[in-house]
Amino acid sequence: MAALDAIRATFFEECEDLIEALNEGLGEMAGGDHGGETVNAVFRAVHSIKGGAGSFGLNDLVGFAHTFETVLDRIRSGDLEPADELIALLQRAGDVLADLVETARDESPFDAAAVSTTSDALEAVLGEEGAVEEEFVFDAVGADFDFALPDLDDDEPGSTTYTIAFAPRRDLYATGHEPLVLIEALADLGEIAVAVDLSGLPGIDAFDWEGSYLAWEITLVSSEPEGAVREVFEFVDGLCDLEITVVRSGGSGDATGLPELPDLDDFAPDDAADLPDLSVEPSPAASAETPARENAEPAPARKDARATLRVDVDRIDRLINTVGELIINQAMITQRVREIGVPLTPEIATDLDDYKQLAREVQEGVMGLRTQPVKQLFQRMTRIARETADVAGKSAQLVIEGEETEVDKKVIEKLADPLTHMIRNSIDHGLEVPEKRREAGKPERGTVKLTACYKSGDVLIRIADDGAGLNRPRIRQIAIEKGLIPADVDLSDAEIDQLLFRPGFSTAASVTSLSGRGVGMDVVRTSIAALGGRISIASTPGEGSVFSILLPLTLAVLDGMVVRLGEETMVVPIACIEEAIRPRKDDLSRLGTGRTLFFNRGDYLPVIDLAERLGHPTRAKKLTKKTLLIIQSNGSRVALAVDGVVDKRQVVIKSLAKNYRHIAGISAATILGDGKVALIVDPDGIAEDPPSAGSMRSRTEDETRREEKKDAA
Amino acid sequence: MPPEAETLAAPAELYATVIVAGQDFCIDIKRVRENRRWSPTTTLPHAPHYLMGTMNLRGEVIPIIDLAALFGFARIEPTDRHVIVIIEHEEKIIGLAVEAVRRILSVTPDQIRDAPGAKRDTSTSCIRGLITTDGGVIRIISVGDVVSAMEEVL
Repeated sequence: MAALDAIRATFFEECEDLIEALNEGLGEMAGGDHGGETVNAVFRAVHSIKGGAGSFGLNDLVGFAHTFETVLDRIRSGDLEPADELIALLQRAGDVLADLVETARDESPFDAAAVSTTSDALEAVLGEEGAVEEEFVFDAVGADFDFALPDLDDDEPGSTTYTIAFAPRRDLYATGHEPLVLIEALADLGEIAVAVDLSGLPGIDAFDWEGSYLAWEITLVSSEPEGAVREVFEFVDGLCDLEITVVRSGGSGDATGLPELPDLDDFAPDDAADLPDLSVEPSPAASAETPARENAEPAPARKDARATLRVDVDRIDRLINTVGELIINQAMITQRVREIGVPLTPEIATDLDDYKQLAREVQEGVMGLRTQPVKQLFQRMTRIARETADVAGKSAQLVIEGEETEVDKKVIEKLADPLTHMIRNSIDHGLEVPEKRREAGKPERGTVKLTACYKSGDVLIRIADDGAGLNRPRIRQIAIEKGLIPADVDLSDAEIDQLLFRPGFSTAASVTSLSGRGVGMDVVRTSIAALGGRISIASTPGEGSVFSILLPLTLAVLDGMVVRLGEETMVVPIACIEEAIRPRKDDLSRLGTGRTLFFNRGDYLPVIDLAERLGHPTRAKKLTKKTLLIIQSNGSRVALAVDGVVDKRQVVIKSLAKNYRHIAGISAATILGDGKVALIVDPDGIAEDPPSAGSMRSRTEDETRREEKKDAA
Repeated sequence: MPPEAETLAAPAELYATVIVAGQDFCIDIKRVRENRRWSPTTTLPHAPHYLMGTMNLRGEVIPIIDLAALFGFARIEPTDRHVIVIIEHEEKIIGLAVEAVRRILSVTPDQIRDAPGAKRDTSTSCIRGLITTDGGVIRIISVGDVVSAMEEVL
């Protein structure tokens, strides 16, 4: 049944958002915010998941959510004190709930032991009272608002009876309003009786997820004037059909004037079988269990009531590709016009500039569609941190900052694995065990800080721990043992730190269940590099380590320096270039037979001839005639020799691997204004790879090619 | 064509004949996306000798293979008259540089002969059969083998 499948898919999509809200709320609670709205938000999230899950007969999920929700409700009403232990339990429960949702979605078996352990722990918190609720049956469309009928005998003189016919339109829900809030506000004005009209519900086939099918008839006995009643609906004016009738003015004392109210039981789920259970969905919080009376203050409307649109990523990607073509096309036209050599009229010049500007704006706008805050990713890390700390016997907290920073969705997806690995590393290897921390005069609980921020067009993500710092003598020793470096080599601290990224390196003295998975920091670096990013380490003994990841905002474009290498044109990412210098003879010195060093800012930097390294045919040219690009690579600096710098421009990244394969020292390709392909240099790959057998061979081939050309000429 | 005729003869397949190093070759037309005139390529580092470089096909970066060099002949000296046959194989798009594209050939399976010993020699390992015509023998290029030859290097 395709329609139901689609609804089901939507439910799980919404669950993702709800779990995010849940984790966010729990995080705030853990941070000491036990305010009504925070707890409410968490409650609502769990409750909505329960509601939806009930509709799909996901009983395990419903049962667990119910217990979870009951505990939250008790906290909300003040019966339970949200102590640290309880919050830790709630966070575990949040994890279990997320797992249950995931396994329900994938229809895979769930970890029954974890569910029952956590569920039991929650029950224990509830005590005996909670146990009574074991026999839980989910009421699909329970309209059992438990408001007492107005007791007319107590009717004070001066009170008025109103009948209010209230039918929300779909826009009411779309703008984040909730009928429950309005009904509760009415309840504050006096005695009310509420009846829900389900007659508008269509069959399940015709059911629109976002439609509005419920209407309410409310009878209110209040001493407030009609204006006060209308005021309740002030904010939903135009979003609902509202009819307020004064049935009986106060003071008459005639109780029989009250119209016969429909018996609320009639709306109880007698005929629930015919009803789409989903009807709770448009406004989950308005459904049965919410104890309205306890909530004297009207609950504020949902925080994130922004109108959003879910769009298939493929469609956005197609749009991004097309816009990329537009940018290239714009550059081509500009270049062609210049090549023709006709004098430009001011009009044409202006139009060309406008075209460029517009194309850029379209590009930026489209790129923005694909960015997402790192929030969800970071919140997942909270869970990773918690689990890692539990297994490793460490006491740790993960502090998150800058979670609103937005990054390309693809980057976020591909960042999850490396980040998980690094968080695990930081807790497992970085932080000391509590006793050691106490001895060192640090708080027993270690802190790992995960932060994100924008840094000149890039995104900087940092993972900082306050642990012991890198154990450099040990790293050095391991590298020697594993044959990565000769025993007598003299290495700077930064160079030792870099050893962590070497393939086949693992610092774990003992293979733990967390880290000993054969995935080392080299894999992390490779994945970051695949995203066009770079990773670096800073570490102070006794104070901790900081891993910094610098990522491009988007995978699709790059700020590049266009350089010339003989007849070829290449692009070097600007992010890694410190400066471009024409070297003086005095600053260049030979080292051995083949190597040249460049003296710059007090350091000798190795000079790498880019054309030579890439095996391009190039006429020997004096270094003093070339331009040196000083680039930062893996914490050290190198000088990259190129024939000249042409231009600085934003280029659209094109995959080389799609139709060909990965090339050492080249990260991707782009298309320049003349329509020709230019390769984009991977600075890290260039800086570290000594000329391999492959490049040597291809160089000789290039030589033969040149000779053949000569012969042909 | 009457329906009987269709059932009698095995369905004919169409091949595009091309000239490589003066010899006749052909490519299954189902693999061919389009033909383009030669335009200068960008050299790729660490590439085998028969890889001429890459070019831009409407925003897609595609490698160009010199079929003559791949088949062991001298490398072509590309001119404006050279043609790049754009082929598609398992989602990869690749250009094959040839001297000329001649005509479309309709071939029935029974016209195709084995090329004995072709697999033994790297220069002929991409030939999957021969077709005899009045004008002489035409070698059928296996596009899949060309792509895997390119992928295997290094």
